Amino acid sequence: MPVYERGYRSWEHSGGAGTPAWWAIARRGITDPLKSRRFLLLLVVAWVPAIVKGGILYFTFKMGELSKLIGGNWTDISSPGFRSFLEWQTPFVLIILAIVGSGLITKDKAENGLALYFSRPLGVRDYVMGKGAITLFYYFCVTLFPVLGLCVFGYLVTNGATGMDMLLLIPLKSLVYCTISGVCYSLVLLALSSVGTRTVFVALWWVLLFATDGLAEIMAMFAPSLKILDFPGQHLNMGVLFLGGDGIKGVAPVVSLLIVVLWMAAGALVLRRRVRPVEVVS
Amino acid sequence: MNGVTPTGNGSVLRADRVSKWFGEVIAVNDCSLDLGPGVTGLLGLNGAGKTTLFKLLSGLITPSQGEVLVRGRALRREVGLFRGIGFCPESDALFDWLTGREFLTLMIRLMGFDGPESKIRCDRALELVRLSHAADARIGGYSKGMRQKIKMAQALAHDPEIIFLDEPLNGMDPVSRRDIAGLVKQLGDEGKCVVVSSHILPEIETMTRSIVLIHHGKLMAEGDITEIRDAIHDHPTIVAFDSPEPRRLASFLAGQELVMGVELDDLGRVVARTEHAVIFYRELPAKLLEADIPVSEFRTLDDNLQAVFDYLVGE
Repeated sequence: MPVYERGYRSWEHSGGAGTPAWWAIARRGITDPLKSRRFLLLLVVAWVPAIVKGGILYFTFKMGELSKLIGGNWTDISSPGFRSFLEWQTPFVLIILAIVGSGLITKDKAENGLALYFSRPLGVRDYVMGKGAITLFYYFCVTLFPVLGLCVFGYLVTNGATGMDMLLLIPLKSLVYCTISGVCYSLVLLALSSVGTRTVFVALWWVLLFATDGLAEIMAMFAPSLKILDFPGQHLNMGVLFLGGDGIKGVAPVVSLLIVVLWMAAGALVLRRRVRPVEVVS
Repeated sequence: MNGVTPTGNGSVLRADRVSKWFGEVIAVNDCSLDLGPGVTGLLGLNGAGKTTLFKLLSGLITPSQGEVLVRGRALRREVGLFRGIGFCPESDALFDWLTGREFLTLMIRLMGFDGPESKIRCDRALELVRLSHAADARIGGYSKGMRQKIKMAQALAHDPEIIFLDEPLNGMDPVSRRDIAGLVKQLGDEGKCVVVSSHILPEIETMTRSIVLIHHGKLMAEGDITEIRDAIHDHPTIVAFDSPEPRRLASFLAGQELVMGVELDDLGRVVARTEHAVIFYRELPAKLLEADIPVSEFRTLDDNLQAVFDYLVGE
């Protein structure tokens, strides 16, 4: 047998540490939906409530009497007012995350793409982080970013009269709330995506999850504690802990926080079991 | 350059008593092999454990027992070792909604390269597989051959030391087949450790003479096709001679110790059978010269991959 080492230059693992693997995945996934004009339009529509609220804030400050005519949360620039704003955004969270996230893992599995990912120097954690960053980014796009925009706008419109509340406290509280809520939504959606075989079914499950809102409302007529089954409601109720305001009657915000954490754990567990480099041959 | 190293010297990739079972089914049973630079064909019937061994060697699945080592380091324990591996799957593991360039850039970035470097490598890989013209078209619109090429490109773009190609010529037109087979051979000659799995034996034969044969989950043979053929004593090697003096040559060959039988076939050729083809080939030319017997050509009729495969697998 010949000697095979002739002239071979040993490989030096010079792959470089330029781009973290999760970021490469996230970047690709974030830019992909932006190619679609319809999706861009939807994003703009998701900002309409923020624009309207900003407009009302402006006129309220300029023409104080108007606030009496409109009233309600639209003119509320306190923390609870922003929690209400986040509640209005729930339909956009549902739609935009369904569009962006339903196929994130399903498509990879359907195309046998997991083998391509895992034949590279990345682990399951990098993969999930990358995919999760995509959904988290778009969740922030319709929740946190408008809130931050409104805070800056409100501060400018009121000539700083709102003080540090508008510039620091509300953004910080919103950041904490949106991060917890967004991570939970991401993990649950990715878990659904890892279980599903077709994007449309994942989207359907996602919608059903949000439909627990109405279902829990009906069931609560018999037992108020069944409101814990309201998936998006737990997020908003948990928000009372950070932003104040009125939550779900009969369910303590701390309980909602615990339920949200449980949803996260369940999502992570499903992902751990379902995201594998290759399908097991049986 | 051939890829199987019998002693482990120069071994790049080593399977050390690797087994894999799924429930009660043993897919790969106690396989040990050393692969060095060069092209190695991984062969086996459907269900022989070829695909499982391929996935084990490429680090996609963990062995139930044993270990796969890259330059002595356990592949499944060091994720960084995957930087030195290129993997081209058999399945259409492509993202149809991306363009070829976007797909390739993502795959290169996942290897840890930054933007400018990814761009350079992407262009180079596209050129290597002759797909630059379709770089900005969506993969969903690619032909089967183009999809195969982009898969090859992603496996090669980061310049890996070990390359796994699962059915690389699948669905390609004849010209692309020739190009890709040539590219695979070139990679082997450059010193890459290339493992090619295919069920089309003549395809493997165009790329390498070095094979690993797996049957019923066990390694049946590994090494150069001729040497393996020579070791199959149940089926003596058949050698055909063209000579202007066939009867004299037949009589001469019949007297040789290494020759088991001689006959004249319908084409007027002298056909001899030997159990030791390698020694036979080494000694025969000198003896023919000494005996002054003219021979215009002689060749083995059954040391091709198909014959070796048929003799060993017997199915």
